[in-house]
Amino acid sequence: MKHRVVYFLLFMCLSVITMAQSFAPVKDETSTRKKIAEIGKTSNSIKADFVQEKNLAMLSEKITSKGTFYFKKDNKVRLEYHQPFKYLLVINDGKILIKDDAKSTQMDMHKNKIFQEVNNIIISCVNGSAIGSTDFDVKMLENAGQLKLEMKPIAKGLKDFFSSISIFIDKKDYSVNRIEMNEVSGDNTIINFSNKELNGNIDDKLFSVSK
Amino acid sequence: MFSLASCHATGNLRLSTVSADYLRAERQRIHNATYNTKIDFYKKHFSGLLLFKAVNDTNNRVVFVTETGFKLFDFEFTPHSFNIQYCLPPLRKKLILDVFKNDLGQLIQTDTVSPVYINQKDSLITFTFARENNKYEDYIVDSKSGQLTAIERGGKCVKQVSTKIVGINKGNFDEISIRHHALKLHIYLKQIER
Repeated sequence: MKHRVVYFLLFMCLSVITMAQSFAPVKDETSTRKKIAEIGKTSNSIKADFVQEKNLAMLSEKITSKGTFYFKKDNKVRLEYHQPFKYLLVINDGKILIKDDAKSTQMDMHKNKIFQEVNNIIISCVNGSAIGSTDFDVKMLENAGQLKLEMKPIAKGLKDFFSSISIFIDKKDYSVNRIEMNEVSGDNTIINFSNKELNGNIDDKLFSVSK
Repeated sequence: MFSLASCHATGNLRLSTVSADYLRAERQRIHNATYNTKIDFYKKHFSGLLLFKAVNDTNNRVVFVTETGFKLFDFEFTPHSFNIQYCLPPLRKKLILDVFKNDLGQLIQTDTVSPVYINQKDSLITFTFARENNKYEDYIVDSKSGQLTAIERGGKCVKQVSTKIVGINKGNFDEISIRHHALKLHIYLKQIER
């Protein structure tokens, strides 16, 4: 009898955990969209730590890297990778600065399709404009603590590369917790954000793209 | 054979006189490792992560991803073939594919043929292998440390590609520098924690 109670409690705990993680369609989609758009308009800056995982499905291998992410309105982005390598990517006003431990390179974003896509995805995820994007078919889901935007690419270039992109948003402050970029090949890239500082003062110098 | 010998220092060794340890050293290769990678081609600089994975005793995969997670290529090397599992369209050019096939292949494939020539100068033992089209590859082993320290590729006398190898970490080469003399191409790999 004692064992049955223990198993019952264990089962209940697992059910609660499963329910907490599963997502259902958002009840009031119109107001949620409105809220995300409003927050996007009023959020001026974000600083957060991130852990990036690149999963190579066919090889059962992953590459994990860590760093700090900065965003400042309208479209300034700084990605600082600290571990296990040093790498800096700054995107500001159509220009890109890349610094590794050997060299600094400055380039025009419009000449590099990969960085254009990286920039578009990051900005649209962070400022909430992804939900209104015509490049994606967006499904809105939710659970107790998070919103999940499940985005299927419609645009050809994106469709060839990504099968879907999911953005997980914290319901408390509508900040992004996690981005999952699933590739057609079965590989994916997952970025988890933590220690988020919203609307703090971030020096413009951090977004300088001069070498 | 004689013209090849004329380009090398004297002191030829017979295969039977070379210790089995040095032969094993010549067969050192990368098994499973990730490298922080820098590529300088003329005035352009690129970087990313190269992941090597031995799928079994003979087959290997090599995947190149950018630091931000974009996969640029995924190649499969078997003893007798080079297969492109994935390659970003702008990189699907014969010259680029040949460079990666040869430069990465030399780090993971073991030789099934015997060297045509073995030479010793001071502590360095050079194993020379004959390749197609009158090309040769020298695998240079330091007899003191027992490590493969360099690979030289080219014609009989002129070296076209020089590879320097420094250190072994977790059974894999720690630092590799590949320099193409005619192409102004330099590829540098440094092993990172997985």
